[in-house]
Amino acid sequence: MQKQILEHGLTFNRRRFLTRLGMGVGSVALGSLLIPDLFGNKEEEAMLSGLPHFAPKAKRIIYLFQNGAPSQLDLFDYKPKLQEMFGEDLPASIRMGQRLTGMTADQKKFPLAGTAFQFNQYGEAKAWISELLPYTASVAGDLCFIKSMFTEAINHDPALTFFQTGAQVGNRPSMGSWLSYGLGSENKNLPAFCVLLSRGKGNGQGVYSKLWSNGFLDSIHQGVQFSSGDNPVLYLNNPEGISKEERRKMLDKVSELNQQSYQEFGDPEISAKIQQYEMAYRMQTAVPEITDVSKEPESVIKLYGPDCLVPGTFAANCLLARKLSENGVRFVQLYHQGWDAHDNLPNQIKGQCKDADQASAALITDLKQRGLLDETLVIWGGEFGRTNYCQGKLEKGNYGRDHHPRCFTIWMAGGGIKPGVYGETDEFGYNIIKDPVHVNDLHATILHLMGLDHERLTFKHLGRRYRLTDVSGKLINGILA
Amino acid sequence: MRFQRIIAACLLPLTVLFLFLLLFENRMVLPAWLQVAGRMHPLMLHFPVVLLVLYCIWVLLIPKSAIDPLVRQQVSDWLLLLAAMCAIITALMGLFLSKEEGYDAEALLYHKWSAVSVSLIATIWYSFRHWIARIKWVTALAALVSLAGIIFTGHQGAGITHGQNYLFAPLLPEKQEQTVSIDEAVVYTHLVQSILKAKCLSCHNNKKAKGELVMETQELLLKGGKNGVLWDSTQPELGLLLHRIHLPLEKKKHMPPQGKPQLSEDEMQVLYYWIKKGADFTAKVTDLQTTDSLRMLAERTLTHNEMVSYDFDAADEKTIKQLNNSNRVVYPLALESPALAVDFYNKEFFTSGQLKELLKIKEQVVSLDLSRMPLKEEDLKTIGELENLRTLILNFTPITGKTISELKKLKFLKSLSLAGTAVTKDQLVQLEGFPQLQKVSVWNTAIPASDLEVIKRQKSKIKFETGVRTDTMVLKLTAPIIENEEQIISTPVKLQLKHYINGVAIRYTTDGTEPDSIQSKLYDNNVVITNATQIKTKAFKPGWISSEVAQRYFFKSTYLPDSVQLITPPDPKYSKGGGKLLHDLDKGDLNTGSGKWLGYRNNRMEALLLFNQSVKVNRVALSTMKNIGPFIMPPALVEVWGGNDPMKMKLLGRIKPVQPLKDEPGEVIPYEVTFSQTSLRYIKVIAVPVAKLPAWHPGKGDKGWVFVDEVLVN
Repeated sequence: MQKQILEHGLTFNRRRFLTRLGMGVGSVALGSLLIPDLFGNKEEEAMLSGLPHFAPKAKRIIYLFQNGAPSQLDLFDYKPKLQEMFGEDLPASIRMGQRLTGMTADQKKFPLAGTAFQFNQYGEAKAWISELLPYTASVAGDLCFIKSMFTEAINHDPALTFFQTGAQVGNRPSMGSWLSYGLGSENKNLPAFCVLLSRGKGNGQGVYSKLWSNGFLDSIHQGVQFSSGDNPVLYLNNPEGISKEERRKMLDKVSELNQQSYQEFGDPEISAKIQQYEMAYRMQTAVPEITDVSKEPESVIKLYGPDCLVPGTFAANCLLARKLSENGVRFVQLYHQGWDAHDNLPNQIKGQCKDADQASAALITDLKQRGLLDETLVIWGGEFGRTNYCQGKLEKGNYGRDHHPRCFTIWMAGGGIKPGVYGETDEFGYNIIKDPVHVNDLHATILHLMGLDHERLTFKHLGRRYRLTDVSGKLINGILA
Repeated sequence: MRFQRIIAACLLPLTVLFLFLLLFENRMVLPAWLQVAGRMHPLMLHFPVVLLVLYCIWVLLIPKSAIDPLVRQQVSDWLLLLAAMCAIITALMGLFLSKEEGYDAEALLYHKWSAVSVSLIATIWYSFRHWIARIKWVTALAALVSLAGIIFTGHQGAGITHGQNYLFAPLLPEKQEQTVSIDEAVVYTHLVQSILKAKCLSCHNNKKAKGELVMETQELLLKGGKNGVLWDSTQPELGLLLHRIHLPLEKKKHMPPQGKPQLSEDEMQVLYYWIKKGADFTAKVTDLQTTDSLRMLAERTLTHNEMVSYDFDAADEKTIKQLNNSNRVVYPLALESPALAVDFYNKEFFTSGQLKELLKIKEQVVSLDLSRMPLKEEDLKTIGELENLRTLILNFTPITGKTISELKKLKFLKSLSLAGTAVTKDQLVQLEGFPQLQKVSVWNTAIPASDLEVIKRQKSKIKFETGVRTDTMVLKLTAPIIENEEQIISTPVKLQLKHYINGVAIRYTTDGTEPDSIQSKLYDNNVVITNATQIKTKAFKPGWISSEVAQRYFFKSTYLPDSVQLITPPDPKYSKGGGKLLHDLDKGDLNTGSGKWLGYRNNRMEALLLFNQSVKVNRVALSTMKNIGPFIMPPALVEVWGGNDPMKMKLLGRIKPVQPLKDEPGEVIPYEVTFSQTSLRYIKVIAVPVAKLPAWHPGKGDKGWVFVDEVLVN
């Protein structure tokens, strides 16, 4: 035995070590034959783009973002307890040290404010909906109310950015850009991601183009804003005196030059530019046709309400959203401003609901009667909720509500969604007691419905792979049909 | 000995290769021949199993004294080396095999990592056996660990190929997965009984009968146990069974007892609702209303998510690429799915030929969207050849439905959209004969509403989506839009009113009264305004509620002062532009920050208008803003003074504007002071802000603002 050990030590000399090391390295080299993209992953990412990972439930999304945060307590989350305890202080055992915004941080008391509106139950799932939303109530049977959304941010801009990009700071790609990146565009004459803005009469909060930015993704995935008026897409029309043929010739020449620079520098932004020019050229014919609502029959106008012909209103944007979606735009993002009712909420919300209710419901009905609701996912909701206590002075029938990230309600409808009510908040409408849904979870579910695995939809940037859901997010199985 | 050394030398590189591939497993792409190697994993795996077991027997069971130590050592070395070698090779093959589809992820996880551990333990043990073996019991331990490891790994692996619990299945009670459709399901048999079987029967059966309770049959259930009957709907808790179930888990009497599988939330609810409804043993699920909680629970439990799988071959990628152009999009439903969806856009480019080209992929198209394309009747024949079509959208195409029977060949067609087409009721009746059709959208067709009602009410397997009737909706029109940009007129201008909805009658008044639908003048394009006018306008249309009033003041300015001096200063925030603003004929809107307004709050406004030559004046108007939200109110008082000497001016007139009510919208209003015609060179205008906002205002008691943008002298 001793001898063997000695022998072993002697035989294990440098030459032998190097031979073995060589063999080890050799086997690594052998193994690397099986891993074609070991030293660079361009191909992997190119392969990813353009096709869903599995069969999608929905082909397109229309996101009716209610910017400023509508009060869930006055619209969907019915809490009679708050009316019973009207004016009493919010128990600290419920607040549990939740941070406050600068607007109510100095408030000594947090008097509970029950809603001033009547609620009724609608649909098979008996969802509570306030009298402010009669049209929404009429389509309640098609909607899935998620009453247990929560977010991490407490102020508008970070919360909105979080909702749109999965991160509170800017510079990440927007949800629509991720979808464009993951699925490509359906109609080659239109961008995959369009943005429409409208503003209600209530207290508004800004929306900025960073919300529909492509972030670090290729700039062809950027959201294209459609504005109201004669020029829905800025700089799309030919300048005066330039005919279509001349424009075509010019584009051909420019593309040739760009192609040359691309050969020379290989910057992907150059090829993105070429594609954008081509897209813009095709959009010159496609966009005017889509934005022309004058041919819509009166039945449709009545459905969306007469405002739908007034450019720039929420109703007009809903109608336009349907037309864009029908024409293969993957993601139509609407922002409707004016829900930020820190004071005079009952009054402000009345006006907001009047603007938003009919058109939102009309979109569901219209998609349904065209047989498109099954393949279109419609989402309605804000960036966070509003507090159950009053901001400022509480009066019967007049109160304001501050920002509340711990729970709020959104609804979804259409492709792959099971109508009903999901999640639950406590009797104060302050904390979630059942099935909480984080923003990342919502993102994961939206991507899932579109046929994308949120863990596989990645992009490598600055040395790490990024996802819309960052490092978390799980499917909300309970809302899937 | 030499042979052993060669094999030992191979062990290290093999291990490194294995670890390397394990690390980059997700990015590995296998050539076909390695797949063959992978598939030999089930063959190869017997070697490490046998060798390791032999090694263990050799090391553990053969007494030391029986054999010469050197032989013993050599044999055990050989066995261990071969076992390690085979283990690594097998693991490597397994890694290749695991890349193929169709393995249960969880089972694979355990198998994979236990296999990795066993092969590494064997390798490391072999490499360092001389050092470690000096401690006596280590050899025995290592042998035992690897034996346990190989048994566990083998068992997990067998589970993957033969199914979980394969080994012990004969010993376990037989389980039958029964699937039943909602239409046939009986609440007791398919919901209640299966819960009892799973969670109760193990103790309450014919053999065991704890508490003298047997839950196997209907009669025995009704009989109950030694503590009495199981349910009693007169009690608040609905009897013993639910009482026991709802007791806290720690209580001794809680059922099922602590440590046994507990009832899930849904199961508890099923039992609760079933008993509450009278514990009916024969009721079918479909007998319950669709909104019934028990029915919803049943639907949730009994419906299984059906995954569509397509068994046809994928189309050639080149063909798909060729078929894609800027108005026809062909794309697979998902990565590696053979099924294709086709959408058409841009009707200008559509031809029947483009549709016929799809016959190249007729097997693969499962979804086709032809909305708004100028289809011809015979095109449906082409569509009828797309044998695997599931979804067909023909919205707003010119088809009349004459050839709709061509689609009957589509034996998988599930959803058909015919919105906005000219199909007739009789043609819809033909759809009943389609084999799998479930949903048809017929909104906006020429079929009268009454017929649609009939179709909808028919008992049919097809769900007809008829859309919403909006012709009975009565909505309010939006107000007309006043498009004129000018607000101060010096020459006659055309009034420009507009409404977005076709066929609307726009009526207007000029005397400040609200327009009505009969007497007020109808607007046409030839209305001209020459003087200061207040236009009020409203829209009317049959079937609609008339709109709100839209109004606009048109101002007239005859004399422009040569200069304006502000005697009292405006608030610094709204003082830009000074006196010039009041005679620049540039009207402001409701935007206070536009630089067109002067704002006063802490002091009243006093402005002196100077004319180089005297002017004959009988009206002076002050254009002000009213916007209640930001505290901007009409002035409490407006005074106009005048004369030819700035030191000796006379009061020409004063008015006290009417203060607004709560919730009045913001607007720009002129307040005009009239007096007998006077010749003047100097005019002084005074406007006093509201000192205390009224009680209804959120800022009650606070000072109001006065905003002024023009002074108009006529």
